[in-house]
Amino acid sequence: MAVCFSVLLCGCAPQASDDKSEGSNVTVRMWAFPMLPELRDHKLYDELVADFEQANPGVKVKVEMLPWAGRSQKMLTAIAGNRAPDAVYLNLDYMPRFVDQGVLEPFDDYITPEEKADYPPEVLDAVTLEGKMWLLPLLRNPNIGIFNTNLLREAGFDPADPPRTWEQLDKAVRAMTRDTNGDGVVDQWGVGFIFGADTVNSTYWPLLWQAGGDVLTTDGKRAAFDGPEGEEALALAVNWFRDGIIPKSFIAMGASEFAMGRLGYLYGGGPMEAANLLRDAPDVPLTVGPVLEHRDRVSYSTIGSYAMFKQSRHKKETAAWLSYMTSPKVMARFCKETNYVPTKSSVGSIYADDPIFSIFEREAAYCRPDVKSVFARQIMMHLAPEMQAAALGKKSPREALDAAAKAVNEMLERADK
Amino acid sequence: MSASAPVTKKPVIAAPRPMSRAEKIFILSVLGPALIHFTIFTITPVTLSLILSFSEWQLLGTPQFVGLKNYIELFHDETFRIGMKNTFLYVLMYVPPMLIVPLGLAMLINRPGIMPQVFRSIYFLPVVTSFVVFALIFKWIFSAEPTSLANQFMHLLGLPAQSWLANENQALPLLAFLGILKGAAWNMIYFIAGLQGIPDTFYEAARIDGANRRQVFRNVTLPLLRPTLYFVSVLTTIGAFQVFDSAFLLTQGGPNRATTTIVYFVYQAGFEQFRMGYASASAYVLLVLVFVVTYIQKRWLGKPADWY
Repeated sequence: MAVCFSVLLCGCAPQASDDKSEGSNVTVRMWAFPMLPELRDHKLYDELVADFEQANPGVKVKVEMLPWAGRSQKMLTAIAGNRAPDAVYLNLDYMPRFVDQGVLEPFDDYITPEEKADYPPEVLDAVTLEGKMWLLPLLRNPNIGIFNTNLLREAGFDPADPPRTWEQLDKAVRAMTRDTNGDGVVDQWGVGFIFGADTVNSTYWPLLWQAGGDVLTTDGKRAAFDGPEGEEALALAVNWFRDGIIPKSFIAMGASEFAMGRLGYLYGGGPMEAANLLRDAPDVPLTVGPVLEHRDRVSYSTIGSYAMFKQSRHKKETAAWLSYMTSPKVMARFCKETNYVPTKSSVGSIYADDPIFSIFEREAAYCRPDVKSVFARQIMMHLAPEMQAAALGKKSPREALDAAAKAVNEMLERADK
Repeated sequence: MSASAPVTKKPVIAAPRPMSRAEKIFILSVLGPALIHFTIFTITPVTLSLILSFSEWQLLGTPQFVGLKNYIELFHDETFRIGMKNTFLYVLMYVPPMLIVPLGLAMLINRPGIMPQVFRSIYFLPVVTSFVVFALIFKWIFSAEPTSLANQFMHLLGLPAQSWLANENQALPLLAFLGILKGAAWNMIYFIAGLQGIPDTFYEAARIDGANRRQVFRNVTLPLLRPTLYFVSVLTTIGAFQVFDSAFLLTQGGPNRATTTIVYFVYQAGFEQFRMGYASASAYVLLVLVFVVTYIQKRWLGKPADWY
């Protein structure tokens, strides 16, 4: 019995015991999430950790690879239980909430002005809140769009100069929608535009921004997506769905039509989708389209970054490790392996010879980061079912946006009280 | 019966013998672990979440007491209303087949011999398969592409292709269908046990009286199976009210909230919006609902089988 209890008690003891300094040894714990096939991330991190440890005697780094699913629950429970790691890989959309909850440590006191100056202003601005820098940006994930060049050519468009405006795209996706075997049923579609909640930021936000609208008012206190720009943007996607240009399965999540060579344009496709398609469907020839333009030429890109938790007992060492991970040489290597776009200016071009990924690199400059609001995710959750209702013809785009805006405004007012 | 009639004598029960120390220690040591586990992992969370349902808490920081605010908001929340409606629809589509199909299967294979044993194992396969695997295969079969297995089948029958899980009218019935495929054999096992518990003498007596099969089923099997039926229907109904995994894995509550159930709503409120108090309040509404429905079932079905 006594043994049982002592085991239980050890289990409950705070984390401090295992990262307490042994002599001068300090262990930095970091949570990361897999980005490479077959979990090759372990190998990549192992090499980087070995390199860092050699240059920093006395500091050990332990990278724990966790599944993406349920990561927010895991982080919050760890923080609430005072067992959070020192650092974590974090997408930008988590930042406002975590800052609001006071769980992050800003980097301003830990990195040099030169390091800071190496980030372009729009990247720096994205990770700054209340005048402090909360994340160390590592990579960009520009969500732009991927064309099947065969289908584009068959529809009479030049794959070397893919559609760049709404009008051109609309013509192209309609021309690419066909019944190829003559059985009276469409079996090749123009565009894959997902109406699900996880993807509103890479599907509807870009259309909204291209139309000249925005998600929230500048003070962040009211919905702004329900203006005429938002309606114009939603109507474009809704009409595609109602006219059968979008496969039905895209109502909630993406499907495999592109990999099967039956989809002309994967709307919002980014480097990860391109890399997966090149690997898994090598017979489907593809190219990346330019960021679309309507009133504005703009799309969406999250900024994959590292964050340091306030709970960390080894902030100096943690910052040193993250500073190493975002140093130009390591950043270039990490991005090259994961197919993402580096964030620091001094890294320069890493895809100059690559016909696909050089486009992502070039177009990243036209991409906006996540909506800087504590409620960024919830807004998407309120919007998605309304967008689906509009696509299914239950509501007009106007009614759908009004309903979503009402719910979002109520949520924002509740929070403001 | 006159007023002066003697009061029925209570049966005499022997006064309990005082327990010895050794017996007390034995009972405590047997019950203890289960009680400790039950207290830590059931009573405490259930009590805490009741308290939490009257507060606002984002998982970090201190909960703020807000009184009935969460409950009031719930009844104005359109998504919650839709979740209630969908959950009731699911219960209606799921529970009756989950009683009828397994009972039929159980009666088919409740006989001696090797083949019934073989079929019993085959029918039981979906139960032992991981739900995630099962759901992913189901999703693949019922995907909206014209090339999906279900649509190929429709094509063979000369019927038009359907969008299945992407169709708001078909998604919820499909989830119920998935649940039935997955769980029917589980209930079948209960029914087999129930059927085997009915003494053969009743069937013999019925046969001697010249009852046909239908009469035997209506007047012997069904009444004597009532305790099993009650047990299975309560468990199945509670399970149906808690449907979540299929909605989460296959449709994410959509399209157009057509598969947003109460538990999916609880999940969204708690683990996507981090409104722990609001999520607890909705969970308590579900608890009350399940309690009421179970009570009705008890009144209706929960009598002992009257074969004595």
